[in-house]
Amino acid sequence: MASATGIIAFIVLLILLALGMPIAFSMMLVAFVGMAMCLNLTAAVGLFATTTYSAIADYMMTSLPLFVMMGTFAYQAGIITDVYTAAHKWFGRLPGGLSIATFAGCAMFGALTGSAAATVGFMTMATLPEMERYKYDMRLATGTIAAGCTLAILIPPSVPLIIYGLFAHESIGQLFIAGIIPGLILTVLFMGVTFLWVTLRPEAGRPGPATTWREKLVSLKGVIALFVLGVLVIGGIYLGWFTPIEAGGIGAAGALIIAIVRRRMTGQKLFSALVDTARITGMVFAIIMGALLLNQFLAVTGLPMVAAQAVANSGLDPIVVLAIIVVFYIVGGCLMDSAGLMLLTMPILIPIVRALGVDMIMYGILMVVMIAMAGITPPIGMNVFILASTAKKVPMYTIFKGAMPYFVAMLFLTVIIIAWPQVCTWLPSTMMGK
Amino acid sequence: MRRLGAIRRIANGVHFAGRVALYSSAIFLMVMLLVVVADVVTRFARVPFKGAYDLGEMLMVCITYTALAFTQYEKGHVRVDILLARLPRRVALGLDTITLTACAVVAFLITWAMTGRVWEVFSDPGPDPVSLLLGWPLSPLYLLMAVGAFLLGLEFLIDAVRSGAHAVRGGDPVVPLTGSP
Repeated sequence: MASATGIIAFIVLLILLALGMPIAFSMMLVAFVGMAMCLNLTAAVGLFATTTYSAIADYMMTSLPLFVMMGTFAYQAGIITDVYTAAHKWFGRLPGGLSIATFAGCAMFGALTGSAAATVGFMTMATLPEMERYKYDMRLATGTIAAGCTLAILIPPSVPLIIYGLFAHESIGQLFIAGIIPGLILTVLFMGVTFLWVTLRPEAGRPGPATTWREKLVSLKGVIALFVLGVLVIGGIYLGWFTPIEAGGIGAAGALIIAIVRRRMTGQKLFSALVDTARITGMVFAIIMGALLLNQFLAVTGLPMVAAQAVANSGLDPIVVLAIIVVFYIVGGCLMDSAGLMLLTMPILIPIVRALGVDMIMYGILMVVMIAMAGITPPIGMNVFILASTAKKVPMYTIFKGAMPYFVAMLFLTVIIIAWPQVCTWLPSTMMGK
Repeated sequence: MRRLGAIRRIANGVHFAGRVALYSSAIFLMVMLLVVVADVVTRFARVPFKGAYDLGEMLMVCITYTALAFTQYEKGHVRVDILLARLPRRVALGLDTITLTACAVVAFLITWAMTGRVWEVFSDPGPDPVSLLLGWPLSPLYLLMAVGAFLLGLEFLIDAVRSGAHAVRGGDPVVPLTGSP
């Protein structure tokens, strides 16, 4: 009976979302009213009084704004421009070379930021004018940026992986390391799609000017800062110098020092980077609070446990269930923003997947790939929206159309992860003994 | 007209308070960065920074609650407007008014809940809730949460009034509560 209340609450939640109520506050409202109905008003007020504090006052949560801050500082330090310049020198001569260079740049910059949204803004400004200059097909150019920026949430550090780790009580360090191989596979798959695209339609991405070996090697100087920061963050976690939670702070401080040494950080730029980080923090944590409140209400209804038990007793193969979840996320991703989709579904899906005995590190990576796909699928694709707001001349349908071949590559990665979970679990087990 | 002017002034005051709160959030972020770095560095120097854990938790509350209101002013709270975009403008604005009011109610509920906690602390003669290591009182944080949520509720209410006014009159904004966000 109580689980029926949970189902009704979920339907009401979907209606509120469809009516355009902000995701965070829809979840909070449903949790409050549901709690008041299931227990009483005092319990509902008590839930608000405790959870709205405890959801935020958690030392683990500090990693989220700090990793976002690291990305904004790295942008101010000019690291993104240096990285793209180097990738341009190395790959620009190839057919579709600027697209390939953008993927290489996104993968490298992904090692400095955990937010796809931030990466889209930075990469659009750095790469689109160059691709326009070489008369790239706008579908290829914008599709490359929209899809490439999803690498930022797969290659560590990653904000969604931190959120998943906190919700599923899985090691954030292991999740970070587990994301490395799938991130690299996806980078290669993206480059393969570009190669195929320009092979079929050479006019879509003509080769850029040739560069000498000297120019190529000199360009690597700009990548040193990225290399130092990446090694500092991942190496520091691996060597036990600091926890994955503290790594964000060390990375942000490192990026700030690089920006100051390069004389690229003024007081005004520093404040603007901090304000941007505060904005993202406010938005993300409102949704986290909503999800945690909903989580507690659903636990009272018993819905997640009933659903987990039903799926476990159904005799369905875990691979079939994972395939159903992938389809569900593709449909959900068309209708909802990635962060909202992730936080909305985790309270129900994590117990189900756990009950099936699926490796939760592998599932975390799979889920992040799926929500990355949600960022480029129409009609709601946050990466595309941000790109369109920066590249005002390009129609939104052109970007969605351009991103579709890369969406297929991401779908292929989900198949690889489900069929061979070792692509996610091998590295953490080798490095950290999981 | 005088009443409209008063409403506009109140709305501008709320936006100003939200902006000041967001700037404080940025400063709290910088402090948190220093705390985390100091924690790691002092650990290496074998003089552990006692209380970094408590400070991190407290700063998280300060950062989040001071950023909420202005995030709404900039329409930064994520929502799904796929259906709204396809409805006739007046219907969409009407629905917007209802959902924004509901959001304001949620924000005021948080204010109510946290004010209740502050009241409990002051009216209860027993020991006050304190942070784990430093033993600092938590009631100022509850108060800050109440104020942050109250500001957020006001921002939602202003947006609800604006949407409602547009829904009733149609066409261009007739109640320009503030400058454009």
